[in-house]
Amino acid sequence: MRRYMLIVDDDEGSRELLTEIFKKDYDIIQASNGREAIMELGVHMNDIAVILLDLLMPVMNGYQVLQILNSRKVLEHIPVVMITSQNDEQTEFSCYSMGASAVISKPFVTQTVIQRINNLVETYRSADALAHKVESQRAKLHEQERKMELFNEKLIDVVSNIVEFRDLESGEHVKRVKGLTRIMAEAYMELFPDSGLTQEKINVIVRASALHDIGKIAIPDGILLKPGKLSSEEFEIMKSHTTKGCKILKLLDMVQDNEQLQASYDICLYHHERYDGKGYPEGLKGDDIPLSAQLVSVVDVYDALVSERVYKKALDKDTAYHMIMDGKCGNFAPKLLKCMEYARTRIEGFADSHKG
Amino acid sequence: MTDEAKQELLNAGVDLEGAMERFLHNEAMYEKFLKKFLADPNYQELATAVAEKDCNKAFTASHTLKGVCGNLALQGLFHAIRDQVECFRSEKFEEGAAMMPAVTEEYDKIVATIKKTFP
Repeated sequence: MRRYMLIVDDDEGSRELLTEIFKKDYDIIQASNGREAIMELGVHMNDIAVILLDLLMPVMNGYQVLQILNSRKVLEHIPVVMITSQNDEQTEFSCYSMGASAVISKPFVTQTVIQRINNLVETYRSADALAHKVESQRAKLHEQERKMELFNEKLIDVVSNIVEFRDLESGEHVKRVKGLTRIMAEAYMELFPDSGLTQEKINVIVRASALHDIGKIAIPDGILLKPGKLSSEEFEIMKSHTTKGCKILKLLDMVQDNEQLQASYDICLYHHERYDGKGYPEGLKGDDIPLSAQLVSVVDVYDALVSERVYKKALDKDTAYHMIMDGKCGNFAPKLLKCMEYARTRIEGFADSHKG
Repeated sequence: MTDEAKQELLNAGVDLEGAMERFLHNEAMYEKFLKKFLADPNYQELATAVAEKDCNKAFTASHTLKGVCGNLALQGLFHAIRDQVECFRSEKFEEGAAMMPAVTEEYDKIVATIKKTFP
């Protein structure tokens, strides 16, 4: 708690008198002019409860001190009481308008001065305590919010992993999709600043990307796990994992805010669309496909190429890269291919360190 | 403080009641401050400033002296000097200087009283 009183007066008698009056309530610091006061303040800033300030002093007067305290935002934390024998209305008005908390004229009545100053200090101390409390609760709230976000992200990852386990893929696929989506999105933000992507939006897309194949949980084993080629009927059922995923997402609406729900919805539904319009389920074309879905789409294809699946061996990274760049696998926006080229080292580095 | 001492101060126009309130009824402290007043340089500085016709310095000294008198409740000197301070503040130097004899008379009176009361 602040327990110092700074007494600023060029008259030693006045300083001594005030010291005698207040020494039982405060630790007293004295200054004989404004400049000394500012120096003392620099040292004891966080311990001073109140400043008693004379007006007319050599070197630096009370008005100048007030001005400095005002500009350094000290007056928000420390009340300043002017004690002056210049007791006219103009002086009083000037002091108050410059931020003084009280103006007491000399000669003063001691009991009144004690009461007034102690009330003032009490008010400031309460405000200070309250501000501390608010600050610590705000920090607590922030911490809880952070935990909640982390918890939600973990929950989404767990749900996403359930699908992967059934798919006989390792849970690494979700991790890889998230990591590669982040790399591609950041590359997109760096190369195309006008895209509107921000670090915040990227975080949303990355969290949502985990859910891209959630609909596969509704696909029968016979189709999902079939090592050979799918019949056209089977393929139609397989394609429905996009629309089914969106239905499942509705069950997860409690753990995602609106922005993230929208992103996961877009990703689920549209991550098999193609830039040329020949994808599914809606055959969206070009940039009608949401950017979040475009990003996850290219990442999903890349990851499928470099990973081993029930129906294929893993391709080496170089081959996978060129298949995508040359349009042999999938069909993507030119901007996405630019990003892939731009971030190739980061992509391949990440793929190496997260092998399934 | 003896009753005689108190009577001396009252006779010299000291507002003893007001002074006691201000000094938290601590007579020893008040006595200490009265004795210190004898060494206060502001009257000398005021006299010099008036002699040198330095209105600024005269204002500073008279203003401080007024504050000291106010604290100690030396009403005679306080009233004499109060109007003089305002003259110097509004730069009516001659008017303020003309009040010097009255100020000096009150100053000498209270100094003599303090010396006599606390030898």
